[in-house]
Amino acid sequence: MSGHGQFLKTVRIFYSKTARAKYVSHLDTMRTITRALRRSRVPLWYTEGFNPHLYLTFALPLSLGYEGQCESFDVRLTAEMDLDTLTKRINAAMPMGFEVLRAAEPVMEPKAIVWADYQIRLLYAPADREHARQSFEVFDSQPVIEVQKKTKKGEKMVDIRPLVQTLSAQWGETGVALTLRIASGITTNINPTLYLKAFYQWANREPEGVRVVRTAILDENLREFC
Amino acid sequence: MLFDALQNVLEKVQKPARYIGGELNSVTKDKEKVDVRYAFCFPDVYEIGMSHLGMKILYSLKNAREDTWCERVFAPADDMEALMRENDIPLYGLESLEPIRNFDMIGFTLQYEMCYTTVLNMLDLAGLPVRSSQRTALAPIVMAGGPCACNPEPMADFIDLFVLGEGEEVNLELIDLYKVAKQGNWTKQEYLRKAAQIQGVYVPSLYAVSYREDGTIAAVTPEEGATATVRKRIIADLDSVFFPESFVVPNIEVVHDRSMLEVLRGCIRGCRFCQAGFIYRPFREKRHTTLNKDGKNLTESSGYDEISLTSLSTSDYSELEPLLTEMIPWTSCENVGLSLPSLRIDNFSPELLEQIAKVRKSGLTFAPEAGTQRMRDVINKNITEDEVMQTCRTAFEGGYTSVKLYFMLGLPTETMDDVKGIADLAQQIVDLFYSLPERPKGKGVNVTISAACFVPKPFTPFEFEPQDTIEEFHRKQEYLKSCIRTKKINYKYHSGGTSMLEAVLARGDRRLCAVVEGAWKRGSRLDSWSEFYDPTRWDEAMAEQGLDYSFYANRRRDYDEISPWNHLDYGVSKQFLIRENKLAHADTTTPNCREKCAACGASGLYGEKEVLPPCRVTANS
Repeated sequence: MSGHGQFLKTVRIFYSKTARAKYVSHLDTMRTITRALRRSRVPLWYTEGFNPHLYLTFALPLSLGYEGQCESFDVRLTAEMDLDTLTKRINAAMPMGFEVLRAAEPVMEPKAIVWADYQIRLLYAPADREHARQSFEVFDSQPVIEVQKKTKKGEKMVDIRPLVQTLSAQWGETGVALTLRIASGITTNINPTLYLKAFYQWANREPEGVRVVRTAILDENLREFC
Repeated sequence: MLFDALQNVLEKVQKPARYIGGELNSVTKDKEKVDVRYAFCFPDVYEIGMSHLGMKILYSLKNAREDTWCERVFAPADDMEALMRENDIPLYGLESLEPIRNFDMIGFTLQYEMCYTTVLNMLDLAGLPVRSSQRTALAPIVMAGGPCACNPEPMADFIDLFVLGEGEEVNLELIDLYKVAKQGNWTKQEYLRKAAQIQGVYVPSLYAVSYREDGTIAAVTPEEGATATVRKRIIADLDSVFFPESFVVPNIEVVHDRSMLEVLRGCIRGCRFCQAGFIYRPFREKRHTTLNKDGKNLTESSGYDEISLTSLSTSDYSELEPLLTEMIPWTSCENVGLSLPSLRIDNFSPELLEQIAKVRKSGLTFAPEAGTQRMRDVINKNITEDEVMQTCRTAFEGGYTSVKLYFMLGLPTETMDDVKGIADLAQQIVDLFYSLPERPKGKGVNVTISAACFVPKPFTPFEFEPQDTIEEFHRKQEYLKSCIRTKKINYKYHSGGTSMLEAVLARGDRRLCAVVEGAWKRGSRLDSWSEFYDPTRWDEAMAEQGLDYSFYANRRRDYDEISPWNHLDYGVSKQFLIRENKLAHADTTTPNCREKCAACGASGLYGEKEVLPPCRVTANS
């Protein structure tokens, strides 16, 4: 089923990664999806050369422990196939927590990605909640939020305030639900954990639990990556 | 279900995917619709356990029953264990994420002695008493199998019943009996008494052991109608026995991450140090047609791009050539690699060799086990220096530049000349490389020698032998190091500490149960991982019981001594082991099973309803 030689076209597969699957790291996700694609017996293109491997590229890695609702990867078809059938076939081969949502021909290039939206829940013990809420208000209103960021050249201080927009913060029974829009993509990529850790430090409190879901991947005009 | 509680701890641990299940082909069932919930426990971390073929077989076998739901359980690493204890998360099954203490049956596989404290730790993490006598209810029944069950005495106080031999049939019989017990409200004792009547089931609490003043065993007395000896189970016909159509495919990388086909069981070689070579007898092969079908199924259901042909000695598989002829066309078409044994491929057709050469090259490894021919004769390792040299030559000419050789130190009758022989053999391989005009150009050669410390094991001709002391091992290691005079030879060894403990536990008696428990209480677990192993815990636990390592490890045992495993029958007779021991001391080899039957007794395991010729050893093609 799988072929070498010329490929017909590139297809972008959109999928979600939720529940137990959020504990599969990016590297392991690539291996897991490679195997799922092999099982699906969709006619996919392999690279040429001494050690042929499946052509598979991901738009934007998702951190370990985060759920994603708008993840995507590209593959190449060697034969025509109806995209609904392709979606069903790949879905049937995916492990628990990985669900193919749709397939389409790519419109944007991954380098167009500039922002990603995250929904984050921080769970606090009742005793810590009020302190955390008050701390967050002050922390989030700072004009500058400097954090240490690891780069290839070592660690440096970065002001992440312009790179993280707080779209909403709702405090409730168990803690807070945040919606953050965070600089993402190949030029500037910020992990939400950088911002969250800076806050924990500021508040001098760790939450009891953290739940992070990536809900959208956007270009510079805030259009959804497609 | 513990998912919510787990989410708060999993973000704090290394490799959280180990602890959450959800892999492809893992089995979930409606717990209301099953009669028996079974926890299959592997007493080591996920990456080790998930590499184990036996677990894959028994997991699928049990889940093939509608009335049973079998889940997988592995030992948590230290970070996860600490968080589990801190947050009151009991040990759970990876499929349901529910505590296993409420399951009906808990089964451990004992693959190596150093896992014993991990078994206790897992029972404790589950919230169960570690001692069998303190778990009084029918459920959960705690059982164990695997190679170490051939002398399970150091675990006798913790495990309700042991399964001896191959598990495909007896596990199902035990589940059937359990269902009857559950319906009939039997006590645990009633269940164990009835289970002990099944061939291959050993219930240690039904045997009383008495000791002589010198510490050796005086008698093992069966009680409550238990049989005098317990005979291991085998599967007579490997072509009709259950084999999974799919494997659980891990989401993280594990040690052996590929499809595995078991081409044969047992071994014709009879290397005298090798326990597996005796306890898995008789030699039985699967037909190549069965294997080809299994291989296709697994590839299709797993998406794996590699298949290995596993067994104790795959190069002895008599249908290797037809198997490869069938497998190579479809595997190469689907970009699936075949892992093959590197030895004994010399009599294949040139076409086949060319096909095999296309498969990715892994390193070349050999296990001569000993450095001199005399020593190899003693251990009955029928590999000659010429064969090693010939294979190395072929390999070097084919582009290989590195060879890895496995040896053992401390083999019975070993002298310093034999130790030096290891360095000499490695040197000869280096010299061979440079003497070849066809050697890979511009590259040096690298010969790695790895020397393990010999551990005498039950049911081998060396079960009577003393192990070298740690001091003797050190002396030999230092001497071997001094014999190596080139940087082209890379020498790897480890201290004999765990090997000594393995020797103690492998041939130990029931008095060691208290030692295992004492070591665990002092913090021992995952002892096979050097970062977790601390010998002082064991030293203290031994001293506390007034026991001495050397009694178990370094003492020569008389042929007529009653061994702790004397009442367990693995088919090979004690007379045969004594015969082989004497031949070893006379530097005399025994032909392999294909050349001549050595009358080990294993063919008797086929029993009365003998459906196949003894051993099914066919003439070498």
